[in-house]
Amino acid sequence: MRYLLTLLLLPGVLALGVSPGIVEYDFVSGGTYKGYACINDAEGMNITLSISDDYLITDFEFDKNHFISTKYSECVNYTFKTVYFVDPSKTSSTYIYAEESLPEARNGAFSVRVGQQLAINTTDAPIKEDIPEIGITFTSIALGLFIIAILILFFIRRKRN
Amino acid sequence: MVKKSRKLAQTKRINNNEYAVIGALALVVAAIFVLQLYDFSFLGKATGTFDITVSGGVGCNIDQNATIGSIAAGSTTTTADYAGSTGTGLVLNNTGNVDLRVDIVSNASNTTLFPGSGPLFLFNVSAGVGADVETGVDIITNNGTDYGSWTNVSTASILIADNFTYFSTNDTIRIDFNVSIPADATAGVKKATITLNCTERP
Repeated sequence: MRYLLTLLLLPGVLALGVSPGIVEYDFVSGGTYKGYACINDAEGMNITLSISDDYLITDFEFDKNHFISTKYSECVNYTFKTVYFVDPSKTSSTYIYAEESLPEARNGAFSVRVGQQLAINTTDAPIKEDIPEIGITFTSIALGLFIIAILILFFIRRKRN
Repeated sequence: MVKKSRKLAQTKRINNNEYAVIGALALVVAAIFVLQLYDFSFLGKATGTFDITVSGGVGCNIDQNATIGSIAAGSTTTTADYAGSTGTGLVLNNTGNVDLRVDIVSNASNTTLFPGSGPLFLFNVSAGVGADVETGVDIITNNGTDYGSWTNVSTASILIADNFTYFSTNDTIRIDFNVSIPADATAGVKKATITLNCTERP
């Protein structure tokens, strides 16, 4: 009889915390935002921070990442930018996750990941749907007027000569 | 006559001084009265306000790891205790001061972990261990009180618990596992990393 060993019993991260749990922002088109997350109960742990995929967020940067926490509560500052227009067909849910980096050898474990939610209020944000229609119409008219003006100028100049 | 009028003048001057003192005292009393109206006191009874803002923090702790160990090919094992309320399942504790949402994700599913015929890799969520029974939680995937339903461990994130409260005597949930190894599975060490994501409930 063959035996298999499933390693589901290794303790990964036993405890971890993050505060504040939710940070609220008002959407600013193409704006830059600042914030912080304090990783608690992580003294001596090798902490990795990550951010969930969200189309709203661009250029996310932590002031430090992949670090060994030296105190009970270690705070990390971050900055990020948002897109210019909101797409109502997409849902937005952004989390910053903190977890202990498990060495390759310890793959096969339970681990806890704690998340800080970035709640971005987009109720008054400009909607992306309106932009292409306005943009195409506006560009076509502007380009047409520009070409007509150039032609008129050429015509006048030619007639003068 | 001259002496009498000088004495009268002196008396008059003293009286004026007295009036001045009485007037000054009256002003002081009036000032105290007015200041007391605005809660200011000379008797060491000044009052003030003291505001502290306690920030909300997410915290999760694995109080007990689930134990699977060695399993024979073609057999099934579980951490659940069908007869009682203990078992060897994973115990997750809400150690923060906010209510949580918890989801579970694995880097391997039943088919990737145990290639073969009919592998099972399931989990079941229960509201608490022993006396520390989580009272407010909504178990999303199943209800572990009777182990009636099990859910496949997945590489996609699955929301398992909502409104997981932080009250210290009722803040644990248990996650049991059920593993069934195909008889034709290849022998060896199989590894899966199971991550529990704890986030504040909006």
